[in-house]
Amino acid sequence: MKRAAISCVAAALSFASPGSMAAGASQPKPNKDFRELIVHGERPEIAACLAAAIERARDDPSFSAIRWGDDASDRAVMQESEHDGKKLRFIRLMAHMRVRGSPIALESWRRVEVKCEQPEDGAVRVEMKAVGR
Amino acid sequence: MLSIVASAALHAAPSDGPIQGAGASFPAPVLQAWANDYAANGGAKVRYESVGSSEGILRITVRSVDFAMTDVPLTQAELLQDDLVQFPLVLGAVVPVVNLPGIDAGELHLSGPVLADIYLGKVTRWNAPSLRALNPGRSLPDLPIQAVHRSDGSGTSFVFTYYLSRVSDEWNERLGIGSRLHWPAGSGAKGNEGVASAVHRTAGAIGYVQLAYAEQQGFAPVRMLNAADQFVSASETSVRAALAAARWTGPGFYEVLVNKSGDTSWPIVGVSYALLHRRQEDRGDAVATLRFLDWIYRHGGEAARRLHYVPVDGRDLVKRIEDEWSQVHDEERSIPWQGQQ
Repeated sequence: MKRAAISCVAAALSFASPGSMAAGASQPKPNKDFRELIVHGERPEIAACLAAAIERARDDPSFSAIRWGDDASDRAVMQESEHDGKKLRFIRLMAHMRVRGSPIALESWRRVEVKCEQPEDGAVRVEMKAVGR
Repeated sequence: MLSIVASAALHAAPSDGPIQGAGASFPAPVLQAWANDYAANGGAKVRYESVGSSEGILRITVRSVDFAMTDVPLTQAELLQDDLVQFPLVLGAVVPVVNLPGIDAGELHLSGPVLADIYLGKVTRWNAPSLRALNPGRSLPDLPIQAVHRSDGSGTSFVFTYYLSRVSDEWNERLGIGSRLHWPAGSGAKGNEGVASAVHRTAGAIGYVQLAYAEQQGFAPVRMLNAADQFVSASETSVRAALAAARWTGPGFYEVLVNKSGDTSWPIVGVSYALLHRRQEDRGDAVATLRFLDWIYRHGGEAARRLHYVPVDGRDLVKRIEDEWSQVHDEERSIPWQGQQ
């Protein structure tokens, strides 16, 4: 796993209901994780999604950390479409979330799919869904 | 109010050191030419490092340069993360380059879907049926295709894969758009320079670079099938035809000019954007940087065209860009540039 500073972020996670993005503020706001991701060499076009996923994870009662593998960001799929003259970006990638409360020696990680929806002039909306054990 | 701005302009002394820029390799040849011309005309010294768009974004983020260049346009959400201003500086064609013995200029015809299949690893030989169908009557060699892609975080890759995503559903679903990807086939090379060199020394190779690099290496131009089902060559005319579709109305002037309509439009056009911090730490450096950028819009067109780029020269667009510069400030006040005086 790379990007230790990011993968060790203590985070919590809530899963959005299937088929819907989690509601969030419509206006983008500064996120310190974005800068850190860029400095660590993350793909700039998906850094806002990753930062939003980390932020979104912080308050979840079920999980305590998020991390992704060395090639996860290169394997992330970004698509972009245009609606009413406005661009809308979609990103999906695989990550792992640590189950809150699991013993350090027997850490339990769940595989999750992270999906982001990023309007060109608004905040990133993020959804994370477990996809197996 | 006018007298305050004029007074500030007179007292904003440019820095003595060179203006430092870094980022995309796509515009590096024209930035070097502009730096030389600017210095020859009494301007400050400018040093630009061709390190790729991703590295350029990193360097402006950590404030180790005065400006960065990127062909990966940032959205408003991304610009706000680090208080950046983004505006287009120059455009150019991204062109496939091939090393195919016996094929002369304009003889090889390619389409977007076939190009995607080559980079997907599905079309592996130059005499494959899909390539023969695009090139009737031409003898294509029985050579394996060596697809070369960028190994570094690259705006040219972003634009190229944006195009592949528009013309190939399989590419869009499996790989999508990226400055860096887990490429399913081929080998990597660093920078436009590296891709051009790798293709040049490998018979059967194909890559993608800005047109200036293709011209420098003497590659035979390839004709591409565009959205209007016309085979076109890369040129200032065909890039400008694609540029006609640009609106420049999004935050940060976000535009990606691929697969645009128009009989003569080149289908893969890259836009190189400059990035500056809204809040500047050194007033002198900021003044010098803005003066250089202003000089490019006013005097850089000839060098751009000479090197097969298309300058950003629409009067209204340049005015809107320079209006955005009023947001650039230091701890005390906004920073004026030469054009304001």
